[in-house]
Amino acid sequence: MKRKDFSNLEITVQDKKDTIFEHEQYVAGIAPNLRGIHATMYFQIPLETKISTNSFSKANVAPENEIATFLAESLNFIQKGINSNTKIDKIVSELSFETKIGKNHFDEIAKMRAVRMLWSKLIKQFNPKNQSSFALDINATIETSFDAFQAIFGGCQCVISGDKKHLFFQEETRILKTIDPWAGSTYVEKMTEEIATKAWLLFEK
Amino acid sequence: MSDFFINEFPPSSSAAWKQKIQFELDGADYNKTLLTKTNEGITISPFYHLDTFEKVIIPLPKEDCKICIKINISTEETANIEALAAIDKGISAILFEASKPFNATLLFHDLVHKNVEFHFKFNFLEESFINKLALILADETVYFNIDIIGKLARTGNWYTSIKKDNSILLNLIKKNPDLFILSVDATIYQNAGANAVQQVAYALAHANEYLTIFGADIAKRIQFNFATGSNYFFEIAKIRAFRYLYNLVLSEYNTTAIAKIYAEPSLRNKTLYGAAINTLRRTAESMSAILGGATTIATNFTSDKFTQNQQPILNETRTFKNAQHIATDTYYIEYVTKQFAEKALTIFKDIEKSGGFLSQLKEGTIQRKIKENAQKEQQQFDTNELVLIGANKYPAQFDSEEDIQVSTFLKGKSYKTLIIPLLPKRLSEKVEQKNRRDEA
Repeated sequence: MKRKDFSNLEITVQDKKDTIFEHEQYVAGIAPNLRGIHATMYFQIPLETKISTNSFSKANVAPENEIATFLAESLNFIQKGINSNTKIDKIVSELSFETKIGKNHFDEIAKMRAVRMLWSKLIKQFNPKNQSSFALDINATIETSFDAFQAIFGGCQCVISGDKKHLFFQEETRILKTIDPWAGSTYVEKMTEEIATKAWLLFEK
Repeated sequence: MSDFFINEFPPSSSAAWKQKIQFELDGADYNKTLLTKTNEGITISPFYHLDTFEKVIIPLPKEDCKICIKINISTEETANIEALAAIDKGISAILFEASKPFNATLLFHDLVHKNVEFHFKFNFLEESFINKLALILADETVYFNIDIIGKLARTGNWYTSIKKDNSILLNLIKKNPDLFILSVDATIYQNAGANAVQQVAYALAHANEYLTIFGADIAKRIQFNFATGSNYFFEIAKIRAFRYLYNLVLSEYNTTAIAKIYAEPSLRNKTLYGAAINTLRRTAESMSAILGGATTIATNFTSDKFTQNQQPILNETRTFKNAQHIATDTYYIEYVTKQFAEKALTIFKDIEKSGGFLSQLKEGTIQRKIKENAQKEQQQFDTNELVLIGANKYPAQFDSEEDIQVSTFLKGKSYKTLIIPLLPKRLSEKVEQKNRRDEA
């Protein structure tokens, strides 16, 4: 057969997503507030690694329950602080989300994205002066090296692990070059929305 | 949850976000601090936002990805036992490697009708044997992976001669028009050091040589083999961009196809020591291939290592249903995919304009381009810009177990060749050789 002429072939680009979620702009957009981290995360504040000799096994808690419990405990802590006349920014700086990372890869990513959204919503009502009070620090304890993968995708500040093998993800996969890399994914955004909605309902109860 | 945030926070724009970043940077240069330039000519932004969203529409397979194990046929009986054991453990595809014709009745005893797909890798080309095999496996899904151009690229020689190889291939396809006789083996491009955009372009141009000979009818009957490296999102985008461009090229042939893509972990970044780190690498690579929409992934473990090394990969990947759709609409992946498609198409057009892939292979142009990128990567590795932990960073801090899947040190060719062959090269070879000498 004669060779085809491909010189006029061009790609077709479209700028529409299949589905847009209401929260997308907030999760990925002005993220420094709502995702609760610096936009320059991992550049100015490198991902921290801690070695822990404590072994753990992940309790079977649904992500929404874990978040709701965290929000309730945080609120309790904040109210106590306010009652003793401590400033909101000072109180908040003492709080962080200590989480154990489970095996369901995308559930864990969505969990961390959801907890950041809900944290900022919770903190907003106390009118903090400091922008970074909207920021939630997440410390992720992992059971096996591979769990660090979902912890980093979710945007944790610190990985706590029994050994250093998980450094592979930081050093070789280039996944820290852009923030919230799964943002926009219909699958991940839907899961984030579901977990956030359920967790807030549970928390309000 | 429509009003969930709108009541409390104003919406954002990428301009606003960039402004905030610049404030946080406190005088540091945005471009220098936060942009990452890659060997593909892509610039990775520190963030991606809905308001700059762009994508190309990727044709995706309907079925979930199959997980494949490699079995080398030393004897038919032992290979058969290995295969049965693998199927018991949940493997859904098997690749048999053979260096000579074998007794297929013996090998496939009790292996058929188990909903397992079979792949072959022969380092010989024998028409009557393949026809017989096709007959015995008539009810099975089989990929014969015959790739005469790939053989030329890998070894520098045809099986026999261009004329003889072509005529055998032609006969095989004529006799078995509905089977996957052909493959395009793009693994060698990755393993020899081509970047992701080059790999997509070369796989396309390589395939177009077969399309030029066999026409549109063959389009749906080619399997593509890719090797997956550890640049996670780029590897997802690589397979997606290829899927898109393959269909774009096929539009010139007035046909479409959802390409069959078999992906295996790259050799390039594996280290001789630190088997556990290699397992993490392979697991991440398998995941990116699945999320990229590969139809079969091979994990490169032989069956004796199966339980200890393959199990984690199976566990990670089994939970993924419809994984080929997860990347859809992800800002970052869609951006990189579109960039890859644009850049690979340009290279593809250039190759076609200069007479096609085979002609560029004979001239040594493809080899030269790959070597340029490979040398760039090697230099990045040598200066620790590209890191392999346990090799050029944190040496000797991980387990010292030797990885039996990594062939120690590759030798150069020792035979006469028609063209310059593309040889796989691991980035850490040099430093490992040096360490060995130091120990001795």
